[in-house]
Parts: sequence; structure tokens; C-alpha cells
Amino acid sequence: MRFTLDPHTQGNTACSENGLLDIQQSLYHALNKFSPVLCLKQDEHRGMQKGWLLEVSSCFRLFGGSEKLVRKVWESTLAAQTKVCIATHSTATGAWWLSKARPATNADELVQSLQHFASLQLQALPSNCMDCSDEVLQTFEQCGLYTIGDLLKVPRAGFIQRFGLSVLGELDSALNIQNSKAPHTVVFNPEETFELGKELPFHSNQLDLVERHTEGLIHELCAWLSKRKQNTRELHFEFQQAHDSVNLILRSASPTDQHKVWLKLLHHRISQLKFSDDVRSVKLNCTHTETSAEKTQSLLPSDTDAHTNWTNTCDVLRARLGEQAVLFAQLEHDPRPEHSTLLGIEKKSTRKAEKKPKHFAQGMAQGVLSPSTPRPLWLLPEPTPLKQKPDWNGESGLRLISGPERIEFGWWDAKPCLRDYYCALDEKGSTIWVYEDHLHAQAKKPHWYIHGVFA
Amino acid sequence: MPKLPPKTADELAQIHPSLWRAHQLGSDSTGRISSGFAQLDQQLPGGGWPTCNLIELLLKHHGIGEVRFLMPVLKRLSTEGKKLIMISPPHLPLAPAFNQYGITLSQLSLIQTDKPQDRLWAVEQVLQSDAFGALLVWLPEEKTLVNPTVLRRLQYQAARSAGLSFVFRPLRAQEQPSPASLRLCLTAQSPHSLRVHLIKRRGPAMESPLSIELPTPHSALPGLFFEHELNTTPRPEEVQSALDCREVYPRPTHTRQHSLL
Repeated sequence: MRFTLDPHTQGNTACSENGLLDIQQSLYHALNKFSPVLCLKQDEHRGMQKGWLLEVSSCFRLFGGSEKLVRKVWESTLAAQTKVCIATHSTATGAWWLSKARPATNADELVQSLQHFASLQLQALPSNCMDCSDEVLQTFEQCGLYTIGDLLKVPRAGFIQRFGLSVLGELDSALNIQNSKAPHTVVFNPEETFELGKELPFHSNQLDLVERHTEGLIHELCAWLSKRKQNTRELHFEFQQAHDSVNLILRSASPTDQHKVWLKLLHHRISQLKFSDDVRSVKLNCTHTETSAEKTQSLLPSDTDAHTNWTNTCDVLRARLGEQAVLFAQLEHDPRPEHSTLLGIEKKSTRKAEKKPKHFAQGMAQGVLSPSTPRPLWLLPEPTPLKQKPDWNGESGLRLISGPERIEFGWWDAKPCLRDYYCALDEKGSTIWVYEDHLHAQAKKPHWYIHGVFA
Repeated sequence: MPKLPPKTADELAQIHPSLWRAHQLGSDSTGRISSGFAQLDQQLPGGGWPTCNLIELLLKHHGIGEVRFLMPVLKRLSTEGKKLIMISPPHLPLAPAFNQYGITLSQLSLIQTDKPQDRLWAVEQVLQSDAFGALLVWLPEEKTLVNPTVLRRLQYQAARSAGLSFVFRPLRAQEQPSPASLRLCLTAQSPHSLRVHLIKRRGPAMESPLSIELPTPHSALPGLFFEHELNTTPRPEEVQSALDCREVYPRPTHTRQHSLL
């Protein structure tokens, strides 16, 4: 099925390039609901001959049959700002030629053309509907090859010798004959960006009023995403004031087109904004979208639901409490306790094995400590210095349980450690992890520290 | 009005599964997960930690073994792929130590808040999500913030979630009323054992506290604790044999060690 824009029909003047792009875009949005396979076609030798190739043979059943589908397509193109030449054929090249030479004049004619997909329909077409250079077309005329049928009568070897492989390739593609030189078409993938602005009916800096009008933009965006089966992770808002503007970015851990998720995030984030002046308009921009995965609804609650709930909750927590509010713990292959835990805002599913120095401790090679190696569950963010050296008999408040365990590591980098760790019982009855720092023992600083708690 | 004949215990139980007599342990229909300690399971209504409920753990100070006390159930939930969420723990978790106890670190998440009010809000959000296996919350100590109204709100949300909701509170909070269905006082007995007193449960008051041997990385993952289905209690002989096998930090050969215990 072909749609050709005739740029010379708008008031007998050629459309500007931008105007043609607008028409092309509006037709794309009108047609992409019928089939996901939509290709932009443009003649190589006559650049203004542009149009859409729409593959519909796999979509007949969705629209109640081929006839109903063709009628709907016809109706959807009526709103176009230019004359649209439509034709149908079993091959893309055939439809392209027909749209140039014999487009349908009404919906009934288009429906009737569905019945005549035979190559005979093409044979009567003039040979100049092919996408060839002016020289080739002139040669056709000089040789008396006025129609496609005339071209088909020429022996293939002679045709190639005289006109070249690419011309034969186009001819073959119209007749559904395999030819590596046939013109190829690629499915059109437009840049999926959404940008919408809204003027507030009144100027206000009240958060609830601004939020209410911003919600409308989110509804528009989610409808746009849903129509394209796309999701997004990030939205950019710009609240324009008289002399300034305030920007707001909403992020979701998992891509979504659910307006409830975005509205909830908006509610928490907008409450933290402060407008110095009245907001006059709001602009929403979504620059990156992702194709949504096929969803299979489960009758019973599934792990996927729990995961979705959790990621949504993380988004809400981060929106209100900050990006660092939700942290995921990961093991880092480093014997130094303060470097053995990585708390990050993202889970890294697969971490490439980092190249370890030769002096890497044997016990840490697999990242798992021996169960007999005592480690506290809690680590203090900063080691707390002890007032005095413990005597381990209770007089200093500490009683020894086990130790020492020497940890010596990192002499090759900027944070070396040479410590002896002890497990001790403090005066409250808590089991703590104490170390003696040998690296700074010469300095006058205290070198006994509490580093962890065996919770 | 005719006098109704007295009903037997079996007849009473048939009226509603949540009905129980004061001298019996309650047995409601909510899910239970074994605590990993046979003697504690015997004292817990239903034979394990109750889901859909707030469980209060009252302790004088941190570091007495309160997290090790929960390690068996945390290990079980993490290996089942359930999320373990900690809200405002007193210190940072040390990943290798959790790893030693068999906790799947990918299931462990930490939520940190600056303000106590935000902490309560975060707890409510997580409870509403119902996307966790176990939630460990260190509530603010301010009495004005954590009042019975707030706790009732959290208990209401916990009742609608399917996970275990543990709340750590100071020991002095035992004098305050609480809507939590289970309240335990934890006190240090030794570096490797804990005295556990159930001060509130659906059943009779507990006469004497339990002495619980805390799991070490060796014994935190005895298979026998996790082979049981919900609402079942391990056989005493199995638990006893597991406890006998426990070791308390075996001494490394290359280090000098002292032990006063």
C-alpha cells in the first residue's frame, strides 16, 4: 500500500521542505496504528516523490478484514493537508508505481484494486513510473519501450547489458522475483521525543495548583507512550516564571508508562520546590523512551509484581528523601573492613572480576571470608578512638574475647592499613570489634579504635 | 433465657480459628515462619514469627546480638529470593559478615533517613508496598514521635503486608502500650547467647525468659531449620544436635588468642 504526497497540489506551488516533513509526520501518526511495518520511500532520481509504504497483509484480521482496513486507511488520510495518492498491490514496488501512475480516486476504487493483484495490472503502466535516471527513461522512449509490459518483453541478458542491474532489480521486485539489486526499504523508526507545554490559566506559585495543571501533561504523555507501546525512565519539567525558570527531573528505576507512578513521584518532588515568583507555564519534555516488554498477566501474585512494587517504592522514597535514601549492599573484594562493603544506589548485576594485585589475600580470593573469621555485622562509619589502651581485664571497660587478627593490606595504594583486630566485651555487655593501628603507632594520635559492633 | 451448656475447647475452636483461651497459645490463620530456635518456636503462637504483624524487639542498647538473633529467618528469606529491608540501622552493615551468615546480599537493601519523621514515613511506604520478606526498622527513640497512634498505624499497614516486620525499640518502651501482637525483651547474657522474654503474645504470660544460643557463621545455616514448612516446629533432638555442633569462633592457627569466656 502506497501513499504519495504530491507537493505541487498545494495551491499549485511546491511545498517547502518543512511543509513536506510536517505532512510526512502527520501521515505517519495517522497510519502507524494500522501496522508496525511502515517504511519511508523516496525516489533516488526524483527526490520530491516521497511516500509511505505500509505493510498490512498481517493486520487484516485485526481490523475486520482487508476491505474494512483499506477503508479505514483511506479515511485516516482524508485529514492530510495535501493530496494523497493511494494504491495497493502485493508488492511494495508495484504499489509505488501504481500510486504514481494510477492512484485510486475513492475508497471503493481502492477496495476493488485489492482483487487485481496480478502482474497484468502493472504491465499497462508507463515505463517512466520507474525510479530511473532521465537518461534511462529517454532510452526507454527511444527504444519504443513505453510500458512496463514492453520492458518485460526484453530478454534479461540484453536488458542488463543496456540498462544495468539496478533497473532490472526494480523491475523484478515489482513482480516479486528475487533479485539482490532490488531497492530495499527499512522500517521507519522516528525519534520518539515528547514535548508539550501548557500555559497556566492563572499565574500562581501555589504548589497544589501548579501540580494539578502539571498532572494534565503527565496524562498526555502517558497516553502518548501507551499508544507507542513505549516506556520512559525520566521526565524533565520546566516551570517558567516571569524572569526565571525552575527545572524538575523525575526519575524511575524501571521504565514505565503508568501515570499513577509518575503522579506519585511528581507529588513528592513538587512539594520540595520553592517558586520565587508566580509560575506562568509548564513544559514537559521526554527525550528517551524504551520499548515496553510484552506483559503476561498472572492470575496469582507473582514475583514480578513484588519487584515492580519494590522499584516503585524505591522511586517514591528517592523522590522525597533524596537519591541516596535507598542503598544496596555489595561485597567488595578488599580485606580492609571499610572498603569491603559497597553501598550504592544501583544494583550491579554482573561485576567483572577486577584484576587483583599479587598480594591479594588468599582468603579473600573468592570474596567470602572463612566462617571462623570473626566479623561484626555493623561497622562504624568512622572508627571511634579509645581513650586508653585496653588492659583486657575489665578495668578499662573492655574484656577480651578473641584476637588478635592481623589485617595488613593496601601498602601499594594511598590507604594502607596495618592493624590488629580484637573481639571484646564492653561494659554494657555489647560485643565490639577493636583494633590497634600499628601504622600510626609512632604518631601521638590515639591508635586504639572501636571499628564495629557484633549486633 | 435458657442457659447454654458449656462448650469444650474443640467446640470453641470451631467457632473461629482466631479464637483462643487465655491459658492457650493463640493459633490464628496468618502465616508463620520458624524463628530457627526450637525453644522459641514452642513459645511463639503458631510456632514461629508471625507475618502480617508488627513484632517489637526491645533492647537496652545495640550490639547484644539482636541481628544475629534474626539471622536464621533472614537467611531463609533471602535464599527464597525475598527482600530484606533495613530502615535506619544504627550503623553501616558490613557485607562480608552478612555473607558469612549466608545472607544473599543482592536481597539486602538499606533505607537511610535524616529526620525521624521521614523514617516513619519510609516505614509506612515500605509496608504499603508489601514487597519484602523481612523489614527491620530501628524506630526513633523520641516518645512524642513513636506514640501508640503511630504504632497502631504501622500495625495496620503491617497487617496488610505478607512479610515479617521487626521493630527495634529501647527497653524502656516496654512500659508503653503497643498494638504489636508480639513483644520481646532482649537482654545480653553472654557474647554468644541472649535472654529472650516474651512480654506480649497471644497466649498466657511467659513465666521465665528463654536463653537463646546465638548462631555463629557456622551454625547460622543448619539445613534442618530451613527444611520445615511454615507453622511447623523443628524436632527437639534435631535442634539439640545442631546446638551441640556449634562452635564459638574457632581459633585461627596463625594468631594468638585469649578467651575469658
